[in-house]
Amino acid sequence: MAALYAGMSYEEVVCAYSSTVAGVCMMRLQNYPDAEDCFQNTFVRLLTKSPSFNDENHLKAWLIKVAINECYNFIKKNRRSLSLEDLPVEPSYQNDDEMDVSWALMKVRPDYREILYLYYVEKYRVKEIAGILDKNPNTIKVMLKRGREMLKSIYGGDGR
Amino acid sequence: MRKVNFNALKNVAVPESWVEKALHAKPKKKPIFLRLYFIGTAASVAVVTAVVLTLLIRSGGNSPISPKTDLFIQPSTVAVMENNETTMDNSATQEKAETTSSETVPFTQAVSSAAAETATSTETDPSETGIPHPTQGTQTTNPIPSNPTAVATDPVVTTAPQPSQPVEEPAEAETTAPTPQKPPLRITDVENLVPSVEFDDLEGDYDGNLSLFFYQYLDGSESIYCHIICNGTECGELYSDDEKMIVADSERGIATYCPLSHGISISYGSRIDVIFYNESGKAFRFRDILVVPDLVF
Repeated sequence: MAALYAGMSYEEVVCAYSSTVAGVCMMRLQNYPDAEDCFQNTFVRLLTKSPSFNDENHLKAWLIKVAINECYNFIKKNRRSLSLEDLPVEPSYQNDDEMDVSWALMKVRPDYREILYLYYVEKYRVKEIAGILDKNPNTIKVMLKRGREMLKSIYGGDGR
Repeated sequence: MRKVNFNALKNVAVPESWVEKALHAKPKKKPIFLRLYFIGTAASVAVVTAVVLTLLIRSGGNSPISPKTDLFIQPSTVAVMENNETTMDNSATQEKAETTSSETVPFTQAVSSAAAETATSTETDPSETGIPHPTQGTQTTNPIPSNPTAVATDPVVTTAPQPSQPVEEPAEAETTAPTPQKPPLRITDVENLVPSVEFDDLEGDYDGNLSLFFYQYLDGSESIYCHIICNGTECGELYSDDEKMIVADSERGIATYCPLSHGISISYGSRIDVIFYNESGKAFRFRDILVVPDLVF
């Protein structure tokens, strides 16, 4: 009998949260092949551990956390610098504005970039981000503010 | 200045191949050496091995039963045991012979064959010597004289057929078993003469008694002997009957010994050493006594 994760089958989980996990991996690694490794490892870990989840939010948070840890482990193992130029395939953007902001986000430091990603893309609240990253909410707030400033300075405009 | 729309940030597009790979992923199995039960088993085995080795090393020099030689049965002991068994058999046969003389022959034949097998007292015939001697056959291994009546009057021994060739086993027993010896004397020198030992009736040659108040020195429950060394010459044989003293007064603890009655003549002016000893070898030596009339000490 196939295991259920918060009432969802494994296939449903992969389809529902693949973009989230892939985004987290890409934000951290900025490299498609490496991000793919961490992406696959995250779901393999889900299969291997088969943890029980209270709800879908719990499942999503668990996946994000595991993906971040996988990226940390990957960086720790490989110890190499990652840059935007290493991207073999650039993601597609809907318009120039979106492309510019995403490009500017990639220029931000990884830890700030991660918080910006979780806040603006995954729509997590500060408290939830603090729970996922095991950090103080005030720290997240400060980092969020600084990340915005970095992004503005890179993008060269006022924030909205 | 350009406005930054943070909400314009979009998620990363996921390649289809990633999703397909993830859908076909299989859970990884831990290597066997990382599985908990394997680690637990290995740790248990290691701990048990370490404990056992530690205990073995600690108790290496102090084994519960040390192979001391005293624990082993000595050959002489075995011979004595066999001898006792044979003696008991013989005595039992003797009782039968006394009760029913008509059954003597079959009994003696049966027992004599058994005696021949054990090869104990069949080699020596007590009837030839007249008295049982403790140095005959394997009885020599017995420090305690065995029952003399069982040997001397044993019809089994007299009627037992002599083996044409003596078996080698008794010969080995004779050679391996040490001959019984009286214990060597553990002499304690008495430096000063004490009035409890006295000569009396000294006239001319000494023919009086040597008296010993043995309660001060020796136990009167055992035989007490007197050994005299006259002018450096030993006058008798240790533990012989000639040296055995007579307990004259057991209540007062007096034992006497008359040398002349045993062929030992001591003239006045001689210097003698007197050794009083008992069966266990406990001895007291009175040194360099000048024999004079009315010698009392």
